[in-house]
Amino acid sequence: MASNNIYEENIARLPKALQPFVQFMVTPLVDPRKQKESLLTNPFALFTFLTKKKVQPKVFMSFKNFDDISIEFLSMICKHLEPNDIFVLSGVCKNLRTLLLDSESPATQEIWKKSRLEYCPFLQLPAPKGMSEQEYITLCSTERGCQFCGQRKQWVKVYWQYRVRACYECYLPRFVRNSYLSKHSKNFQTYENKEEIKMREHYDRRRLEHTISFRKERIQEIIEELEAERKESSDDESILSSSSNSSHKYDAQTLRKCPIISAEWKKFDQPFTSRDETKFRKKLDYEYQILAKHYVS
Amino acid sequence: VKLTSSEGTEFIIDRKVAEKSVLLKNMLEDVGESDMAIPLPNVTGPILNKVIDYCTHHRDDPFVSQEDDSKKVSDDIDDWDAEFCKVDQGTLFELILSANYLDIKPLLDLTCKTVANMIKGKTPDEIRKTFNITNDFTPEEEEHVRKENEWCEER
Repeated sequence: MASNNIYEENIARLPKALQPFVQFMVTPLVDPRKQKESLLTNPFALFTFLTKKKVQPKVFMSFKNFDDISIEFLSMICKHLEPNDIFVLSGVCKNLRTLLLDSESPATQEIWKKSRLEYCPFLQLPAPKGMSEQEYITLCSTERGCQFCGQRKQWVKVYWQYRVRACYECYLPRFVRNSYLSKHSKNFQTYENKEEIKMREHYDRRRLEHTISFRKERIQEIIEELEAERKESSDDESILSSSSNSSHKYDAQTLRKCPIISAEWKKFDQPFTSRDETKFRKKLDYEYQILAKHYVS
Repeated sequence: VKLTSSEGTEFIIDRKVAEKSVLLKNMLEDVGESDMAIPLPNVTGPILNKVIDYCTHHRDDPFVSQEDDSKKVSDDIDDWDAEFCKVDQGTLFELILSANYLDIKPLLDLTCKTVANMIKGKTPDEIRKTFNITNDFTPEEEEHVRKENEWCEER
Protein backbone atom coordinates (compact mmCIF):
# COMPACT_ATOMS: atom_id res chain seq x y z
CA MET A 1 0.00 0.00 0.00
CA ALA A 2 2.84 2.34 0.86
CA SER A 3 4.34 2.10 -2.59
CA ASN A 4 0.97 2.77 -4.09
CA ASN A 5 0.67 5.97 -2.12
CA ILE A 6 3.96 7.25 -3.46
CA TYR A 7 2.69 6.60 -6.97
CA GLU A 8 -0.57 8.30 -6.26
CA GLU A 9 1.13 11.49 -5.10
CA ASN A 10 3.16 11.59 -8.26
CA ILE A 11 0.17 10.76 -10.41
CA ALA A 12 -1.71 13.73 -9.02
CA ARG A 13 1.01 15.99 -10.32
CA LEU A 14 0.76 14.68 -13.87
CA PRO A 15 -1.49 16.21 -16.51
CA LYS A 16 -5.08 15.03 -16.12
CA ALA A 17 -5.17 13.27 -19.48
CA LEU A 18 -2.29 10.99 -18.60
CA GLN A 19 -3.49 10.05 -15.15
CA PRO A 20 -5.70 7.03 -16.00
CA PHE A 21 -3.00 5.47 -18.13
CA VAL A 22 -0.35 5.78 -15.45
CA GLN A 23 -2.78 4.53 -12.89
CA PHE A 24 -3.27 1.46 -15.05
CA MET A 25 0.46 0.94 -15.33
CA VAL A 26 1.02 0.88 -11.59
CA THR A 27 -1.90 -1.23 -10.45
CA PRO A 28 -0.71 -4.55 -9.03
CA LEU A 29 -1.04 -7.57 -11.26
CA VAL A 30 -3.94 -9.94 -10.85
CA ASP A 31 -1.76 -13.01 -10.63
CA PRO A 32 -1.47 -13.75 -6.90
CA ARG A 33 2.19 -14.71 -7.26
CA LYS A 34 3.10 -11.38 -8.82
CA GLN A 35 1.13 -9.00 -6.69
CA LYS A 36 4.13 -6.87 -5.86
CA GLU A 37 4.74 -6.16 -9.52
CA SER A 38 2.86 -3.93 -11.85
CA LEU A 39 2.97 -3.32 -15.58
CA LEU A 40 5.60 -0.71 -14.92
CA THR A 41 8.06 -3.13 -13.36
CA ASN A 42 7.06 -6.10 -15.47
CA PRO A 43 5.78 -4.98 -18.87
CA PHE A 44 5.70 -8.58 -20.12
CA ALA A 45 2.73 -9.16 -17.91
CA LEU A 46 0.65 -7.65 -20.69
CA PHE A 47 1.31 -10.74 -22.76
CA THR A 48 0.45 -13.35 -20.18
CA PHE A 49 -2.39 -14.54 -22.36
CA LEU A 50 0.22 -15.68 -24.87
CA THR A 51 2.08 -17.91 -22.45
CA LYS A 52 0.59 -21.30 -22.13
CA LYS A 53 -1.36 -22.08 -19.03
CA LYS A 54 0.20 -24.77 -16.95
CA VAL A 55 -1.75 -27.97 -17.06
CA GLN A 56 -3.03 -28.68 -13.59
CA PRO A 57 -2.34 -32.21 -12.45
CA LYS A 58 -5.61 -34.07 -12.37
CA VAL A 59 -7.05 -34.15 -8.88
CA PHE A 60 -9.14 -37.16 -8.06
CA MET A 61 -11.90 -36.98 -5.57
CA SER A 62 -10.38 -37.48 -2.21
CA PHE A 63 -12.26 -39.30 0.47
CA LYS A 64 -9.85 -40.11 3.23
CA ASN A 65 -11.69 -38.42 6.05
CA PHE A 66 -15.29 -38.20 6.92
CA ASP A 67 -14.86 -34.44 6.78
CA ASP A 68 -14.48 -34.19 3.05
CA ILE A 69 -17.34 -36.47 2.18
CA SER A 70 -19.21 -35.45 -0.93
CA ILE A 71 -22.92 -35.48 -1.40
CA GLU A 72 -22.87 -38.54 -3.65
CA PHE A 73 -21.30 -40.77 -1.06
CA LEU A 74 -23.36 -39.25 1.67
CA SER A 75 -26.50 -40.17 -0.18
CA MET A 76 -25.27 -43.71 -0.68
CA ILE A 77 -24.64 -44.07 3.01
CA CYS A 78 -27.83 -42.37 4.08
CA LYS A 79 -29.80 -44.81 1.98
CA HIS A 80 -29.31 -47.22 4.85
CA LEU A 81 -30.19 -44.79 7.62
CA GLU A 82 -33.44 -43.87 9.28
CA PRO A 83 -34.56 -40.24 9.18
CA ASN A 84 -33.74 -39.99 12.85
CA ASP A 85 -30.15 -40.95 12.27
CA ILE A 86 -29.81 -38.55 9.38
CA PHE A 87 -31.11 -35.84 11.61
CA VAL A 88 -28.53 -36.65 14.24
CA LEU A 89 -25.86 -36.76 11.57
CA SER A 90 -26.77 -33.27 10.48
CA GLY A 91 -25.83 -32.02 13.93
CA VAL A 92 -22.30 -33.32 13.76
CA CYS A 93 -20.38 -30.63 11.92
CA LYS A 94 -20.93 -27.62 9.74
CA ASN A 95 -20.15 -29.39 6.52
CA LEU A 96 -22.65 -32.17 7.16
CA ARG A 97 -25.19 -29.66 8.33
CA THR A 98 -25.08 -27.67 5.13
CA LEU A 99 -25.11 -30.83 3.07
CA LEU A 100 -28.01 -32.44 4.86
CA LEU A 101 -30.30 -29.56 5.68
CA ASP A 102 -30.25 -27.76 2.36
CA SER A 103 -33.89 -27.52 1.43
CA GLU A 104 -33.07 -26.30 -2.07
CA SER A 105 -30.69 -28.98 -3.22
CA PRO A 106 -32.43 -31.84 -5.04
CA ALA A 107 -29.77 -34.30 -3.95
CA THR A 108 -30.43 -33.54 -0.30
CA GLN A 109 -34.17 -33.82 -0.77
CA GLU A 110 -33.61 -37.14 -2.46
CA ILE A 111 -31.70 -38.43 0.56
CA TRP A 112 -34.53 -37.60 2.93
CA LYS A 113 -37.15 -38.90 0.59
CA LYS A 114 -35.46 -42.24 0.14
CA SER A 115 -35.05 -42.66 3.84
CA ARG A 116 -38.65 -41.68 4.47
CA LEU A 117 -40.04 -44.10 1.91
CA GLU A 118 -37.87 -46.87 3.28
CA TYR A 119 -38.36 -46.41 6.99
CA CYS A 120 -41.65 -44.60 7.53
CA PRO A 121 -44.41 -46.90 6.34
CA PHE A 122 -47.04 -44.36 7.30
CA LEU A 123 -45.44 -41.43 5.55
CA GLN A 124 -45.68 -42.63 1.99
CA LEU A 125 -47.50 -39.58 0.69
CA PRO A 126 -45.30 -36.93 -0.89
CA ALA A 127 -44.48 -33.86 1.14
CA PRO A 128 -47.14 -31.13 1.08
CA LYS A 129 -46.54 -28.30 -1.32
CA GLY A 130 -43.96 -25.79 -0.22
CA MET A 131 -42.61 -27.99 2.51
CA SER A 132 -39.17 -29.48 2.31
CA GLU A 133 -38.72 -33.16 3.00
CA GLN A 134 -36.98 -32.63 6.29
CA GLU A 135 -39.65 -30.25 7.52
CA TYR A 136 -42.27 -32.78 6.58
CA ILE A 137 -40.48 -35.60 8.33
CA THR A 138 -39.74 -33.66 11.48
CA LEU A 139 -43.31 -32.44 11.66
CA CYS A 140 -44.79 -35.87 11.85
CA SER A 141 -42.12 -38.39 12.55
CA THR A 142 -38.90 -37.49 14.30
CA GLU A 143 -40.33 -34.95 16.65
CA ARG A 144 -42.96 -35.56 19.23
CA GLY A 145 -44.93 -33.37 21.53
CA CYS A 146 -47.01 -30.28 21.05
CA GLN A 147 -45.43 -27.43 19.16
CA PHE A 148 -47.11 -24.83 21.34
CA CYS A 149 -46.77 -26.01 24.90
CA GLY A 150 -43.76 -28.22 24.18
CA GLN A 151 -45.10 -31.02 26.29
CA ARG A 152 -45.10 -34.61 25.31
CA LYS A 153 -48.74 -35.03 26.11
CA GLN A 154 -51.03 -37.68 24.89
CA TRP A 155 -53.06 -37.34 21.79
CA VAL A 156 -50.82 -34.90 20.08
CA LYS A 157 -51.93 -34.73 16.52
CA VAL A 158 -50.83 -33.14 13.29
CA TYR A 159 -53.39 -30.66 12.04
CA TRP A 160 -52.66 -30.75 8.38
CA GLN A 161 -54.66 -27.74 7.30
CA TYR A 162 -52.38 -25.53 9.42
CA ARG A 163 -49.35 -27.78 9.38
CA VAL A 164 -48.91 -27.78 13.09
CA ARG A 165 -48.53 -30.54 15.61
CA ALA A 166 -50.53 -29.71 18.67
CA CYS A 167 -52.41 -31.12 21.58
CA TYR A 168 -56.11 -30.42 21.62
CA GLU A 169 -55.90 -27.91 24.45
CA CYS A 170 -53.46 -25.77 22.52
CA TYR A 171 -55.14 -26.22 19.21
CA LEU A 172 -58.62 -25.21 20.25
CA PRO A 173 -58.08 -21.59 21.32
CA ARG A 174 -55.55 -20.85 18.61
CA PHE A 175 -57.37 -21.81 15.46
CA VAL A 176 -60.74 -21.03 14.07
CA ARG A 177 -62.68 -23.99 12.92
CA ASN A 178 -63.13 -24.71 9.26
CA SER A 179 -66.90 -24.70 9.43
CA TYR A 180 -66.85 -21.22 10.88
CA LEU A 181 -64.48 -20.00 8.21
CA SER A 182 -66.38 -21.40 5.30
CA LYS A 183 -69.49 -19.65 6.56
CA HIS A 184 -67.97 -16.26 7.10
CA SER A 185 -65.26 -15.89 4.54
CA LYS A 186 -65.57 -17.24 1.06
CA ASN A 187 -62.07 -16.81 -0.20
CA PHE A 188 -60.42 -18.48 2.74
CA GLN A 189 -58.10 -21.26 1.74
CA THR A 190 -55.87 -23.51 3.73
CA TYR A 191 -52.79 -25.08 2.31
CA GLU A 192 -54.22 -28.39 1.30
CA ASN A 193 -57.39 -29.41 -0.35
CA LYS A 194 -59.78 -31.55 1.59
CA GLU A 195 -59.03 -34.81 -0.17
CA GLU A 196 -55.36 -34.52 0.61
CA ILE A 197 -55.98 -33.76 4.26
CA LYS A 198 -58.28 -36.74 4.49
CA MET A 199 -55.63 -39.02 3.05
CA ARG A 200 -52.99 -37.73 5.40
CA GLU A 201 -55.27 -38.10 8.39
CA HIS A 202 -56.06 -41.60 7.33
CA TYR A 203 -52.39 -42.50 7.37
CA ASP A 204 -51.93 -40.76 10.70
CA ARG A 205 -54.73 -42.81 12.17
CA ARG A 206 -53.22 -45.99 10.91
CA ARG A 207 -49.91 -45.06 12.40
CA LEU A 208 -51.58 -44.34 15.70
CA GLU A 209 -53.25 -47.72 15.67
CA HIS A 210 -49.92 -49.29 14.94
CA THR A 211 -48.10 -47.52 17.77
CA ILE A 212 -50.84 -48.37 20.24
CA SER A 213 -50.89 -52.03 19.43
CA PHE A 214 -47.12 -52.19 19.25
CA ARG A 215 -46.74 -50.70 22.72
CA LYS A 216 -49.25 -53.11 24.19
CA GLU A 217 -47.72 -56.12 22.55
CA ARG A 218 -44.20 -55.21 23.45
CA ILE A 219 -44.96 -54.60 27.12
CA GLN A 220 -46.82 -57.87 27.27
CA GLU A 221 -43.91 -59.63 25.65
CA ILE A 222 -41.39 -58.19 28.07
CA ILE A 223 -43.43 -59.23 31.09
CA GLU A 224 -43.87 -62.73 29.79
CA GLU A 225 -40.21 -62.93 29.02
CA LEU A 226 -39.27 -61.89 32.51
CA GLU A 227 -41.70 -64.33 34.06
CA ALA A 228 -40.15 -67.15 32.16
CA GLU A 229 -36.66 -66.17 33.16
CA ARG A 230 -34.90 -68.57 35.45
CA LYS A 231 -32.60 -67.82 38.28
CA GLU A 232 -29.02 -67.75 37.16
CA SER A 233 -27.45 -69.47 40.15
CA SER A 234 -28.72 -70.74 43.44
CA ASP A 235 -26.21 -68.90 45.58
CA ASP A 236 -27.21 -65.68 43.88
CA GLU A 237 -27.70 -63.08 46.55
CA SER A 238 -31.28 -62.42 45.67
CA ILE A 239 -33.95 -61.44 48.11
CA LEU A 240 -36.60 -63.51 46.46
CA SER A 241 -35.08 -66.85 47.30
CA SER A 242 -36.95 -66.91 50.56
CA SER A 243 -40.21 -65.68 49.16
CA SER A 244 -40.69 -68.37 46.59
CA ASN A 245 -39.31 -71.83 46.14
CA SER A 246 -39.68 -71.85 42.42
CA SER A 247 -36.68 -71.39 40.18
CA HIS A 248 -38.15 -68.40 38.44
CA LYS A 249 -36.25 -65.19 38.84
CA TYR A 250 -39.38 -63.11 39.11
CA ASP A 251 -42.57 -63.89 40.91
CA ALA A 252 -45.35 -63.31 38.40
CA GLN A 253 -47.82 -61.78 40.82
CA THR A 254 -45.36 -59.37 42.34
CA LEU A 255 -44.06 -58.45 38.95
CA ARG A 256 -47.44 -57.48 37.67
CA LYS A 257 -47.99 -55.20 40.62
CA CYS A 258 -45.13 -52.91 39.64
CA PRO A 259 -46.52 -49.41 39.07
CA ILE A 260 -44.36 -48.80 36.02
CA ILE A 261 -46.37 -51.32 34.03
CA SER A 262 -49.63 -49.49 34.39
CA ALA A 263 -47.87 -46.18 33.94
CA GLU A 264 -46.40 -47.27 30.63
CA TRP A 265 -49.63 -48.96 29.73
CA LYS A 266 -51.49 -45.70 30.05
CA LYS A 267 -49.31 -43.94 27.52
CA PHE A 268 -51.23 -45.60 24.73
CA ASP A 269 -50.27 -43.43 21.84
CA GLN A 270 -46.62 -42.81 22.57
CA PRO A 271 -44.24 -44.81 20.44
CA PHE A 272 -42.41 -47.47 22.39
CA THR A 273 -38.85 -47.31 21.14
CA SER A 274 -35.82 -49.33 22.04
CA ARG A 275 -34.68 -46.56 24.32
CA ASP A 276 -38.02 -46.61 26.10
CA GLU A 277 -37.69 -50.33 26.37
CA THR A 278 -34.35 -50.27 28.17
CA LYS A 279 -35.68 -47.63 30.54
CA PHE A 280 -38.77 -49.70 31.17
CA ARG A 281 -36.76 -52.81 31.95
CA LYS A 282 -34.51 -50.97 34.38
CA LYS A 283 -37.39 -49.33 36.17
CA LEU A 284 -39.29 -52.58 36.35
CA ASP A 285 -36.36 -54.39 37.86
CA TYR A 286 -35.87 -51.64 40.40
CA GLU A 287 -39.51 -51.55 41.43
CA TYR A 288 -39.68 -55.28 41.61
CA GLN A 289 -36.79 -55.41 44.06
CA ILE A 290 -38.57 -52.93 46.32
CA LEU A 291 -41.87 -54.74 46.12
CA ALA A 292 -40.30 -58.10 46.78
CA LYS A 293 -38.55 -56.78 49.87
CA HIS A 294 -41.79 -55.30 51.03
CA TYR A 295 -43.64 -58.60 50.73
CA VAL A 296 -40.96 -60.55 52.51
CA SER A 297 -40.92 -58.38 55.56
CA VAL B 1 -6.38 -59.45 -17.35
CA LYS B 2 -3.68 -57.13 -16.16
CA LEU B 3 -4.42 -54.13 -13.99
CA THR B 4 -2.09 -51.37 -12.87
CA SER B 5 -2.72 -49.42 -9.70
CA SER B 6 -1.82 -45.79 -9.22
CA GLU B 7 1.70 -46.58 -8.02
CA GLY B 8 2.27 -48.80 -11.03
CA THR B 9 1.96 -52.13 -9.27
CA GLU B 10 0.64 -54.76 -11.63
CA PHE B 11 -2.08 -57.21 -10.75
CA ILE B 12 -3.04 -60.19 -12.84
CA ILE B 13 -6.55 -61.46 -12.29
CA ASP B 14 -9.11 -63.73 -13.87
CA ARG B 15 -11.42 -62.26 -16.40
CA LYS B 16 -14.36 -63.54 -14.41
CA VAL B 17 -13.12 -61.72 -11.33
CA ALA B 18 -12.57 -58.56 -13.28
CA GLU B 19 -16.07 -58.71 -14.65
CA LYS B 20 -17.53 -58.06 -11.21
CA SER B 21 -16.63 -54.49 -11.98
CA VAL B 22 -19.00 -53.03 -14.50
CA LEU B 23 -16.36 -50.55 -15.60
CA LEU B 24 -13.85 -53.27 -16.41
CA LYS B 25 -16.53 -55.47 -17.90
CA ASN B 26 -17.58 -52.81 -20.36
CA MET B 27 -13.99 -52.00 -21.08
CA LEU B 28 -13.17 -55.61 -21.82
CA GLU B 29 -16.19 -55.94 -24.05
CA ASP B 30 -15.30 -52.86 -26.02
CA VAL B 31 -11.59 -53.39 -26.35
CA GLY B 32 -11.27 -57.12 -26.01
CA GLU B 33 -8.60 -58.86 -24.03
CA SER B 34 -5.06 -57.81 -24.70
CA ASP B 35 -1.69 -57.97 -23.06
CA MET B 36 -1.84 -54.32 -22.23
CA ALA B 37 -2.40 -53.60 -18.58
CA ILE B 38 -5.44 -51.52 -17.76
CA PRO B 39 -4.33 -48.48 -15.80
CA LEU B 40 -6.43 -47.55 -12.78
CA PRO B 41 -4.94 -44.25 -11.69
CA ASN B 42 -7.72 -43.74 -9.20
CA VAL B 43 -6.99 -46.79 -7.08
CA THR B 44 -3.95 -47.45 -4.93
CA GLY B 45 -2.28 -50.83 -4.69
CA PRO B 46 -3.44 -51.94 -1.24
CA ILE B 47 -6.99 -50.89 -2.00
CA LEU B 48 -6.98 -52.66 -5.33
CA ASN B 49 -5.72 -55.72 -3.52
CA LYS B 50 -8.71 -55.57 -1.18
CA VAL B 51 -11.10 -55.06 -4.05
CA ILE B 52 -9.69 -58.07 -5.87
CA ASP B 53 -10.04 -60.10 -2.66
CA TYR B 54 -13.67 -59.18 -2.55
CA CYS B 55 -14.30 -59.92 -6.20
CA THR B 56 -12.55 -63.26 -5.95
CA HIS B 57 -14.66 -64.29 -3.00
CA HIS B 58 -17.85 -63.21 -4.69
CA ARG B 59 -16.95 -64.35 -8.18
CA ASP B 60 -19.79 -66.83 -8.39
CA ASP B 61 -22.49 -64.61 -6.98
CA PRO B 62 -25.37 -63.97 -9.34
CA PHE B 63 -25.39 -60.55 -10.83
CA VAL B 64 -27.70 -58.32 -8.85
CA SER B 65 -29.83 -56.07 -10.97
CA GLN B 66 -30.32 -52.43 -10.13
CA GLU B 67 -33.96 -52.73 -9.10
CA ASP B 68 -34.22 -55.44 -6.51
CA ASP B 69 -31.19 -54.55 -4.42
CA SER B 70 -32.78 -51.62 -2.66
CA LYS B 71 -34.99 -53.84 -0.55
CA LYS B 72 -32.20 -55.33 1.50
CA VAL B 73 -31.83 -54.29 5.10
CA SER B 74 -28.50 -53.21 6.42
CA ASP B 75 -28.22 -56.06 8.89
CA ASP B 76 -27.79 -58.83 6.39
CA ILE B 77 -24.05 -58.66 6.07
CA ASP B 78 -22.63 -62.14 6.06
CA ASP B 79 -19.62 -63.14 8.12
CA TRP B 80 -17.05 -62.97 5.39
CA ASP B 81 -18.18 -59.52 4.38
CA ALA B 82 -18.20 -58.31 7.97
CA GLU B 83 -14.66 -59.57 8.38
CA PHE B 84 -13.75 -57.92 5.11
CA CYS B 85 -14.99 -54.59 6.39
CA LYS B 86 -12.95 -54.68 9.57
CA VAL B 87 -10.44 -52.16 8.30
CA ASP B 88 -9.57 -48.68 9.37
CA GLN B 89 -11.79 -45.87 8.23
CA GLY B 90 -9.40 -44.42 5.69
CA THR B 91 -9.31 -47.74 3.91
CA LEU B 92 -13.05 -48.11 4.17
CA PHE B 93 -13.64 -44.74 2.58
CA GLU B 94 -11.15 -45.47 -0.14
CA LEU B 95 -12.92 -48.74 -0.74
CA ILE B 96 -16.15 -46.82 -1.22
CA LEU B 97 -14.42 -44.48 -3.57
CA SER B 98 -12.89 -47.20 -5.70
CA ALA B 99 -16.02 -49.33 -5.63
CA ASN B 100 -17.85 -46.36 -7.00
CA TYR B 101 -15.18 -45.78 -9.63
CA LEU B 102 -14.98 -49.40 -10.69
CA ASP B 103 -18.76 -49.67 -10.48
CA ILE B 104 -18.98 -52.72 -8.26
CA LYS B 105 -22.48 -52.39 -6.89
CA PRO B 106 -22.45 -55.06 -4.15
CA LEU B 107 -19.15 -53.85 -2.76
CA LEU B 108 -20.40 -50.29 -2.76
CA ASP B 109 -23.54 -51.34 -0.95
CA LEU B 110 -21.59 -53.36 1.55
CA THR B 111 -19.17 -50.59 2.42
CA CYS B 112 -21.89 -47.97 2.64
CA LYS B 113 -23.90 -50.24 4.88
CA THR B 114 -20.90 -50.68 7.12
CA VAL B 115 -20.52 -46.95 7.47
CA ALA B 116 -24.26 -46.57 8.02
CA ASN B 117 -24.12 -49.14 10.81
CA MET B 118 -21.38 -47.11 12.45
CA ILE B 119 -23.69 -44.11 12.48
CA LYS B 120 -26.93 -45.76 13.51
CA GLY B 121 -28.44 -44.92 16.85
CA LYS B 122 -25.64 -42.67 17.95
CA THR B 123 -25.60 -39.13 19.26
CA PRO B 124 -23.71 -36.41 17.39
CA ASP B 125 -20.93 -36.58 19.95
CA GLU B 126 -20.49 -40.28 19.49
CA ILE B 127 -20.44 -39.89 15.74
CA ARG B 128 -17.78 -37.22 16.04
CA LYS B 129 -15.69 -39.56 18.12
CA THR B 130 -16.13 -42.49 15.79
CA PHE B 131 -15.15 -40.61 12.68
CA ASN B 132 -12.70 -38.21 14.24
CA ILE B 133 -14.65 -35.19 13.15
CA THR B 134 -13.80 -31.89 14.74
CA ASN B 135 -16.71 -30.01 16.16
CA ASP B 136 -16.60 -26.71 14.30
CA PHE B 137 -19.76 -25.21 15.74
CA THR B 138 -19.53 -22.21 17.98
CA PRO B 139 -21.09 -22.75 21.42
CA GLU B 140 -24.17 -20.75 20.42
CA GLU B 141 -24.65 -22.77 17.26
CA GLU B 142 -24.12 -25.94 19.18
CA GLU B 143 -26.77 -24.92 21.66
CA HIS B 144 -29.11 -24.21 18.76
CA VAL B 145 -28.50 -27.62 17.23
CA ARG B 146 -28.91 -29.29 20.58
CA LYS B 147 -32.24 -27.62 21.16
CA GLU B 148 -33.39 -28.60 17.74
CA ASN B 149 -32.40 -32.17 18.36
CA GLU B 150 -33.92 -32.29 21.80
CA TRP B 151 -37.24 -33.16 20.28
CA CYS B 152 -35.97 -36.29 18.72
CA GLU B 153 -33.32 -37.26 21.27
CA GLU B 154 -35.73 -39.38 23.23
CA ARG B 155 -36.53 -41.88 20.63
